Amino acid sequence: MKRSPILIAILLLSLLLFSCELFIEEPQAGKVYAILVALDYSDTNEQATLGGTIPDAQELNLALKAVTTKSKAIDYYGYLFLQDASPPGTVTIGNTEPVNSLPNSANLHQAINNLKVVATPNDLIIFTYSGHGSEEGELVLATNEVYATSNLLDALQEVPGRKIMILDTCYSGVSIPETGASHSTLINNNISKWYKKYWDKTTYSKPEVFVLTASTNTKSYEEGTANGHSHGVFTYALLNALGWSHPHAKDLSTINLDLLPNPPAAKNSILSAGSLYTYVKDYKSPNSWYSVFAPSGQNQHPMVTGGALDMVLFTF
Amino acid sequence: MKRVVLVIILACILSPLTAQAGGQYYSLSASFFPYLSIPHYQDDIPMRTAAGGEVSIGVLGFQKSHYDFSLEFRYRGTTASITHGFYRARGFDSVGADLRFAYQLREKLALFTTVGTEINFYRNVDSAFASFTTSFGVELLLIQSPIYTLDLIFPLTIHLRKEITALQPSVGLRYRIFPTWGGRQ
Repeated sequence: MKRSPILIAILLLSLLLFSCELFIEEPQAGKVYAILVALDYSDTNEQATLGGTIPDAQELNLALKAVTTKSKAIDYYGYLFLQDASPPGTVTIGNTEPVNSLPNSANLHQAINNLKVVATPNDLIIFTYSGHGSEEGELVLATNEVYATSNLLDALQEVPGRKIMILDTCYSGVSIPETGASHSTLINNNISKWYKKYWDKTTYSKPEVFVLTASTNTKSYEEGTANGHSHGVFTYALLNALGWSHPHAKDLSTINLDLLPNPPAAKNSILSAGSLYTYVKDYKSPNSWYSVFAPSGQNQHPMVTGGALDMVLFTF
Repeated sequence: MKRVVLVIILACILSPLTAQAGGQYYSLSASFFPYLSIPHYQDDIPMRTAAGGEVSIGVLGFQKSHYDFSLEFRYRGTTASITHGFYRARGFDSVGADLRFAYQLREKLALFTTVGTEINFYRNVDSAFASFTTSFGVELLLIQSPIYTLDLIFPLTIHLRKEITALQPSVGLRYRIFPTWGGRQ
């Protein structure tokens, strides 16, 4: 009888020692590719002008570059697709054909197709969008092209590597694909649905593309900064999560990225989609009354792909 | 869901009635465990390892002869798994209820089994899911007095999630207090 506790303790210890994490080799982080899309709608009267979107993309590009440098990832390549007052140029991804940088669906799909050629399974692909969005989860691209986010998600799925899509736009939460085993408590919040989900025929699979959004099924907002330019409230918090802060030098090219701190959103030397979301959700902006992202009513509240797995973006 | 509520209500009604004929008790259990999750989906590794703890409060328990039965409400906290490669399993908090049945084999040894259900909330990501739990194990009597008992418990719990089946080989303590009757027979 006295042997039973000892046998059980040995069993427990054995199970721990045989944990798969200890014996299966981990993949090494590869390169980081970012497609950063922003539109200020200065070329059209059909959409309200957004002053914060272009700074969103430009500063995210530098913040991500700084984070990559500090992390174990190999190198960073950022590609800006901006619709602003200046004429569009071209973007060259790896050794592929140059792509026009005007952010319309054709050019974005071409860029994603080019990424398919250069990316490898250990790479991290980041796609960010700052601009208008429709209540149906569509993006308002250049020349007022209303385009379904799901089309871009489908295209990104085919690119090798981990993928994360970050959307700073109204109603962006409706673009997050539903997971097969859990429910968002921000949308469709109902205990009966949770049990119904358990028994229904949908299945969970590891998300091909994680999605992080500025809002649920509500509007999202912009706010001014100490630098005199605006940002999306969400992107402002996201920049802080990555270690970027305001005020900063007005000429972005003069900023020494090596002096930026490690991302405060990283926990235990890991920056994941979940830790980024947690930081942004809890971030309290100094300038806005709606700085606390309330989980109810019409207030803006970020969302992230749910389910059993969290994706690691950077390790340090 | 309605069926689950019905079962719990029935248990609440029946349990005090049967307690009239035996030893009614309240219980408090705490246990710790490694949480070994086996995915039903394609993952990089066959099993991910986390850890957790569980506290149960038995509000409706009774003991008679060689068996006892109780309805227990449970909180379980599970950490995120060890990061492997580019993914880790998210941590979550659970609240649920169990029906527990134990059978006394010897003076200081009993076998027990539980069935239950719970709602689980992933930490920080505003996402929830329902699941079911079953466990079986042994309990060893450590201390006994006329009004309370303290047992060492070794449950092996199986957490039945839709996308994962998780094993929890646990170790813990179970305290029972008998307000109207003597302790273990």
